[in-house]
Amino acid sequence: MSEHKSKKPANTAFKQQRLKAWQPLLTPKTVLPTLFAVGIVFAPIGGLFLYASDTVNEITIDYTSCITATESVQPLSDDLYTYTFTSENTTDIRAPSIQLTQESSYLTGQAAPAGETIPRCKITFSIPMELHPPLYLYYRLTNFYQNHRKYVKSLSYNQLNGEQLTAGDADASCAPVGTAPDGKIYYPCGLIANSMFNDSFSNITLLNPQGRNDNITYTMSQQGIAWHTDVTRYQRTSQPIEQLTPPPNWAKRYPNGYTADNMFDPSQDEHFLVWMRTSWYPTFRKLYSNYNGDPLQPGTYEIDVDMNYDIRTYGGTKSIVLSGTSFLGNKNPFMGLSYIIMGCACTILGVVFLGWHFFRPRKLGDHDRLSWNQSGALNN
Amino acid sequence: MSSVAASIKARWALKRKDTLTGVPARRDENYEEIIMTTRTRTSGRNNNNSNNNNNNNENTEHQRQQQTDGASSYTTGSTSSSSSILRQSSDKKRTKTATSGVQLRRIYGAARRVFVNLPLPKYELDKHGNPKRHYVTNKVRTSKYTLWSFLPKNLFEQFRRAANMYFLGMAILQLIPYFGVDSPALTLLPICAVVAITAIKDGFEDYQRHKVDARYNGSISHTLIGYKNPNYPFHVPLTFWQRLRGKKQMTPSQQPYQQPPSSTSLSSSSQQQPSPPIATPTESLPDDKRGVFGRSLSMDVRVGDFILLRNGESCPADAVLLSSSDASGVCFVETKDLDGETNLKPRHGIPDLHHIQSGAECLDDVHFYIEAGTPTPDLYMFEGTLVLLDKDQDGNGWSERKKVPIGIDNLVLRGHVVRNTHWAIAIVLYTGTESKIIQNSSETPSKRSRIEKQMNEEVIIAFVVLFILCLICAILAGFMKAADDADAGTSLYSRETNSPAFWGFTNFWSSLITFQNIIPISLYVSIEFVKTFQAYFIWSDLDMYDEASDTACVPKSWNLSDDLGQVEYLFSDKTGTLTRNIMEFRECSIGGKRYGNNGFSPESEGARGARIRKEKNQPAATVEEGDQHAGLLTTAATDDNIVPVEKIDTIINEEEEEEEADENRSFQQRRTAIFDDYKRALYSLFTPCYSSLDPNRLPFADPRVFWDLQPKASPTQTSTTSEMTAAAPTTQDRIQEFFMLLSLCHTVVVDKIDKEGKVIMEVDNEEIAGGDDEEGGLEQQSQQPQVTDENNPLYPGEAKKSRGFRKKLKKNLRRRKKDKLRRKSSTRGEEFESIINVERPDIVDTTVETQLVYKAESPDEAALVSAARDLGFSFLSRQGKRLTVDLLGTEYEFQLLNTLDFNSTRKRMSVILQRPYPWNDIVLYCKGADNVILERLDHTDPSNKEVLQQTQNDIDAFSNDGLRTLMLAWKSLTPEKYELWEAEYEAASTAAENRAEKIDAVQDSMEQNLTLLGATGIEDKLQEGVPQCIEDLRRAGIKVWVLTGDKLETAINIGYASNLLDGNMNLWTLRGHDQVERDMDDTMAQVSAALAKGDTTENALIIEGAALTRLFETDDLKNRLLELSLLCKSVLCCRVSPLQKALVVEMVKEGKGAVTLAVGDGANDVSMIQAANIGVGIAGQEGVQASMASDYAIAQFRFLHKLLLVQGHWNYHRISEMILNFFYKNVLWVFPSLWYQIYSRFSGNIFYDYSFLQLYNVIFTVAPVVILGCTDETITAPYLRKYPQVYEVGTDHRLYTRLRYWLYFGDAVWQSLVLFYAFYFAYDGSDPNPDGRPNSMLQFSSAVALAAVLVANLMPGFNTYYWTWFQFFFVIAELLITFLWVLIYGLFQSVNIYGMGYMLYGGWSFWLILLLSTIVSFLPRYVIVFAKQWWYADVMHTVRHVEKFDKKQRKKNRKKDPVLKDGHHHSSSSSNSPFSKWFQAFR
Repeated sequence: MSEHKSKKPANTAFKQQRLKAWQPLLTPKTVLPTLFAVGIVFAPIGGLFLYASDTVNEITIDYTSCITATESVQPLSDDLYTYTFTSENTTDIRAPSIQLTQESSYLTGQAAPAGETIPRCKITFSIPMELHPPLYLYYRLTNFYQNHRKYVKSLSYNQLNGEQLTAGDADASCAPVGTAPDGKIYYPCGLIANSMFNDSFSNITLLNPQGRNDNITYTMSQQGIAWHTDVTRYQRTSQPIEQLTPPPNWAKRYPNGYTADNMFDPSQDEHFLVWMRTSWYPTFRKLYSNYNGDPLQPGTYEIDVDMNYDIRTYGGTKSIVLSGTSFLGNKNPFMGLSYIIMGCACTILGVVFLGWHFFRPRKLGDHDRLSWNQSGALNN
Repeated sequence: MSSVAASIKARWALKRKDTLTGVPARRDENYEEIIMTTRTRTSGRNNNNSNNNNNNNENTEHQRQQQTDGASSYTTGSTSSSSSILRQSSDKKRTKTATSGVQLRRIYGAARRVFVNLPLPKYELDKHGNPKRHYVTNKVRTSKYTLWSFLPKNLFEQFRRAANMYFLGMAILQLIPYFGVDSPALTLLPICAVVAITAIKDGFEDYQRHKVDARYNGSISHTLIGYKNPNYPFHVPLTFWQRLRGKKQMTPSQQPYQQPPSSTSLSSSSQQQPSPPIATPTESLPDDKRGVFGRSLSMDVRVGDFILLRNGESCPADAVLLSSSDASGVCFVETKDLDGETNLKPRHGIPDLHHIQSGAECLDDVHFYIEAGTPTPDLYMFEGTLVLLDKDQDGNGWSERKKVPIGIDNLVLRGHVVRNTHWAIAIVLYTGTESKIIQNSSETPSKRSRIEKQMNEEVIIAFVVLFILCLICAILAGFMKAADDADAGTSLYSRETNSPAFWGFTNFWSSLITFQNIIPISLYVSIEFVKTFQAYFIWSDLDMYDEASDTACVPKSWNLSDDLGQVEYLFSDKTGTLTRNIMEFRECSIGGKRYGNNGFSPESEGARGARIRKEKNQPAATVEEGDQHAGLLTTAATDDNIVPVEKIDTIINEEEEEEEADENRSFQQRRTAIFDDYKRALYSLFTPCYSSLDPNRLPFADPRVFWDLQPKASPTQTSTTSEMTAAAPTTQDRIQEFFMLLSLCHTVVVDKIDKEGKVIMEVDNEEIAGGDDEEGGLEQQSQQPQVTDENNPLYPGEAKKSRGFRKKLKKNLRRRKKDKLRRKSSTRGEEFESIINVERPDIVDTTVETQLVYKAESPDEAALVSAARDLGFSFLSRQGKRLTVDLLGTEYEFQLLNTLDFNSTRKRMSVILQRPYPWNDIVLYCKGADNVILERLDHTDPSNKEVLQQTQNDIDAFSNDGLRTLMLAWKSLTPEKYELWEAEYEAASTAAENRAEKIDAVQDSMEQNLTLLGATGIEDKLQEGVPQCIEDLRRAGIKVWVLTGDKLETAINIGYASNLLDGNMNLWTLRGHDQVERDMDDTMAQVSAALAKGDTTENALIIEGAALTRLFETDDLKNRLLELSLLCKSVLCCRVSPLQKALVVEMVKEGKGAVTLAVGDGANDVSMIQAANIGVGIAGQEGVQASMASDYAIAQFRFLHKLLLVQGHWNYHRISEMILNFFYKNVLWVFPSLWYQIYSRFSGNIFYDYSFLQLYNVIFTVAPVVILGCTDETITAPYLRKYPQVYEVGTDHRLYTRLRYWLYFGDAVWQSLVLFYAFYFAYDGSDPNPDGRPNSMLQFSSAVALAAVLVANLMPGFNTYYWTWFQFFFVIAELLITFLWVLIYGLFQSVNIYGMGYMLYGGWSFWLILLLSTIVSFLPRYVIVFAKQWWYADVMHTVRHVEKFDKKQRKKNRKKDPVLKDGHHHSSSSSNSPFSKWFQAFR
């Protein structure tokens, strides 16, 4: 303490700001190779991506109009379906057809409410080539603003996590679908749950396969369609049953409300979990079931759909999508194209700069610009 | 009552008349006369006495009697109960003649009447008998907060800032359930973090202030033990702690003391005791302590206290000096803390109180009160009256003895340090905030940097953008709602029946939440952080560390670091800034013979600068005509093309250095030879006792002086000490007279210092004892005030209630610390210890037997006296009128008859001396400016002619070398002639009218017919490296102006010396007052005509203060002056006052809108320093005022080079780039939300997950930007030094412009589009997950968020020119944090992004799109920046290229030459493996 402490700053690289450093400099020597490298590497990669995307087969069939269809089989107009197959052999593709029937029970096995029939849409489509699993069955909705602020916020994570809600809480977080007029809390509450897509799809059936008499039914699994994290996340509510009631649009599913037996358990209902992962875009598809069995043989297939969900009230359409995936997901040429474009752009820029460098060469470290600048500054 | 009012009014009028008729003006116009009556009826003597004193007022006596109507009065000694003041006064009217006029004006406000050893008059007391008036304590508090008030006060302060208010408002908005943000913790996190960091910083700063306060308040001063200060209440309630300890002795005042103010008790007590009542020692006080000065803390000193100031101590408060160890009551003080002047100033005691020589006398013998006005900050003005009272003989009352006017000469101010005076006793008058130094220490005006101001505009732009975005969203939301209402879709998400307008309105606010981040919340706190860091770097810069004074550059304002890089105009003071304020006696001309130009002393900085400049100009001219800079650059360039040197620092200097070293060696040899000669010659003449023989201390060593002093064996001259003959004086005589003059004609005071550099106390030498006071001597010495090391026990008890336990404890602790300090610094004043450098060992000269240190009013004088001393003519001491001088080993005592002082109009100083044996005559010595002396020479003597001519030539030569010249002359007087003159002089100095003029005339009459002795040449030493520094600053495009108080010629001298002027320049001078307007227009016309003709001759303007006064009169003249000065390359202002300096700075600052920097060192530069954008104080010779007021305190002028050209440039770049990147990253962050609104029906849905939204600015993206702001370097320091012109990017303000702001803004929008739509197209209508699981809103937004964070972190990296491991580390760290955040935070089930890590990172698509979007978003910037930097490079990038090129060359050379590689440069000696590189990077 007593000795005089010098105020002399320490001579360290840090304090004197002499730290070793990388001083990147944009010179033709660094820029041109970079541009060409990006071009050379990414354009072919883009091609690869494009190819991967092209290997994905996809069938999309808009069956919105099915609810107004008749008993007779009617083919869909061209704008309501798309077939994309990697096989060249697309000559024997038939346009999908739809047919509406009235049934007495749901595909889930549940009986129809008394005095009502279930409208069921039978969709037939053809697959011209052997499709290898895994295959995924999606439903696709359009003009459905699952990303509207009012909509997105209308749910209660607490309730889904199993906690008890008061009527006030429910109204606060789930408005306008918080509590029923009789004071019971909707379970699950909120707009999202209430508007849950409830068409159900059957397995797909190969009609009249070659060499066999009976139709082959390919069993689609409705398990494992939700993110496994979501499955573990939600719990069945601990709230007494008598305080809860199903949301208004769930009336068909729970015609008599909740009982001890049929109590809704979010962790068990993967369709619900999928639905609750709201989409960011008004057009979206959600996974309904997946297929992991034998390859699908070429032929004509049929799928039955219970038409429970009236998409027309929202002004949108609904479709089924049967699709495979690549390592990049569903069919989407964007990735491949964008990489190719980027690669090309970089190459072109590289060529431009190369030319520029050729016609107006500069040497690193030439000083003539300095003096030029200096006199320029003096003139100011 | 109404009559009272009327009379007061009447008196009002009367008093004003008084003032007009020459009665001393009184400060308070609204006052009342209060008659302090004494029982004059019983005391005739007193009556007479007071009447005498009131003689002057006789004519107003009548008026005064009328005035007492309605005036209040009090009686101290009278027996009247004085219950009714009114009645009393009417009584007085009746007993007109019996009234003695001890008059007390009523005093208002902070004006005061301080009573010493007197009971307070009744009107000063409240009903409890305590004084009504409360004085401020001497405790100074600069800290803002206390422990308790910190939280509320700091929060209040912080939320007064608009930005914080905004973010608080946003936080509250988000907490409204309607907007449904469900995480209050996250909502409040950013604002809390920002506020907390700022609070910690404020707290730390305040803690520092507390520490400084404690040091000031806790310094020790000595107050009188046993003195009861009547101005403070005697009865102080015991504090809790005191009661607990039952400390009786602490509170002698608690004894049933008779006072105050019962008059009966006063009289009785005074009758019983021989001494007056006030000073009654209390029982608890042992006799030996009575009248002893004890220690007390500086903060406890109170108004009216006696304080003892000892040599070297600093005064704790403004106090009236009563007496001192000097018999005439003079006390010398050093005032450098107040006005920056280093010379000693005498302060005078009260003549009637000189007899006070001990504490006991203070207690017993003096009774007076002091009237003083309201405290003012004026350091040179004070008016007050000290009224001495006598006790009536019967001890019952008081009468006025004498009124003594007191002025600033009688005042010792807080901060003054007592010097050359053994001790002094003073009465405290103003304490604490009322003392002049504190009144003067105005808060340094808070300055904001240019970028900060501009940035605020950009923040406003961001607000406008935010508002527009919100408005668009609100309106569109309204339309959407209207459409929805008409549409079936409504039932899905909106069953509410709100109107579209309402929907739009609420949507405005939810959009506000969504887009809030466009205002960068952490920007302000980041800037503060970065600037703190920059300040730290500036502080720790070794290149700005001055070894000699052990000071580094101290940044005082931390927020101006970016302005340092944009300085366009630099205003410099001369003395102490460009020059060292060290004068060195270089040459002299005696009798026409020039001494000192023998090459002993090294070339002066000025001469060297001129030579270098000349040499540099030579090649420049050959390369490119007229363009000096281009030439310079070219030489530099070719230089390193050929010889790429290992260490770039030394590239430029190595060759020169070698040459210089050679030169140095031969110079040293020559020097030693000369010095040996000198020494031999000296010893042949006398044995030195006081002369220095240290060649490094001697600026002048010419053996010829001694040779010529040798007694010549010529027939006319028989003895060296023979009486003056009428014959022409010999050289030897001339030399002798010359140096005698130097050692006698001055006003210096002497200090003897011992081998440790301490001043030998005067007690130890004979000065006091043998002083000219007849009865002085030992007796006096014994009478000196006794001082005890004990604490003055009175104080703590008498102090305020608040002084409790905690304080006491603190005090003790502090005392212990103080004691330690004391031991270290023995006698010096502790208050400002940091700046007193008495102890600096380097002043000790080991070659001297008895070292004398001279303190003079001007450094020239000290230089002259020192030079004379070293040549054997040592001035030893000054005791009153006796000057002791050692002439070549023999001591003589001269009787000083008169001193004719120096002043700026006379420009000369003379002394008249009675010389002892062997001369036995009276002489006049005169020194002064050459032209003044010339007029006064005796031109009748033809023999003088030749000498005169020769001397004048020498003088010219001196000034050409940049030396200051003085001419010396003398004459001898006959006693008769002197007597005659003396009588005249006496008459003149006592003349009633025109005294000054008369004195002047008489003095002038004496200083005639002088005989020329010779001339001196003194070097005003330039600071080290000044010419080079100025040259570089100018190459950097900074215009350097010099503003000096010196005269024109000196200014021009320095101008040449410091490279501001050169021989090729046209000099234009504006001087005088009347013609100047026309002169200016003429100059303007000529200069612009020359410029129009393409004349490249540079112009320099020299303006005199008088001209400035005229030109500042109207705005029009000012503008024309500005215009003219902008055309000139150099501008010098001389003879300017401090205020004018500030005006000049302001003229340029406001007229040109440029960033200005003012650098100065003295108190006279403070106004300029505060006026400029950046004030730089030179912490050197002259006090601390300038560096206190400055924003940066440096030790040397040349450090400006590093401060501006390197640190300033870096900081400017860093701050600009950081702010732009900040805005950029916030725009980048916000715009995807906008794109998203398009697809979500403008519903105001928050795009990102809330955690991203809140953490983006605070955690995810902050570090790289801040690191960019802290450590980036465009160009490394050696290259910035080599190419000062890089600085022009700052003077042109090119790095932070509105255009660049919009470019960054645009780039951010582009990048946001890329990021958003890359994911949009990838995710649209398909799902990117290979296991078929569909994407979701959160997956999409998190992907975009991650991409935005990635790009926002890479962008500062892209803009970083200098990637230290910090940047690598923090970019990587930020990315890791963000990506891991998603993973780890996503593990919690309760959060929205639960499981997001798996969703995103599990598939290829996310990574591929991330890569794609990053490349695409950077592509335009990459390409454009490349093209611009390569083909259209500005200076900065060109130099970057040069640097790179040199580095490559060096690498190549190293490869070629492995010896070099393994040589001394160990930085390059390690292998090139990346590991070792990394290892080095981390060291």
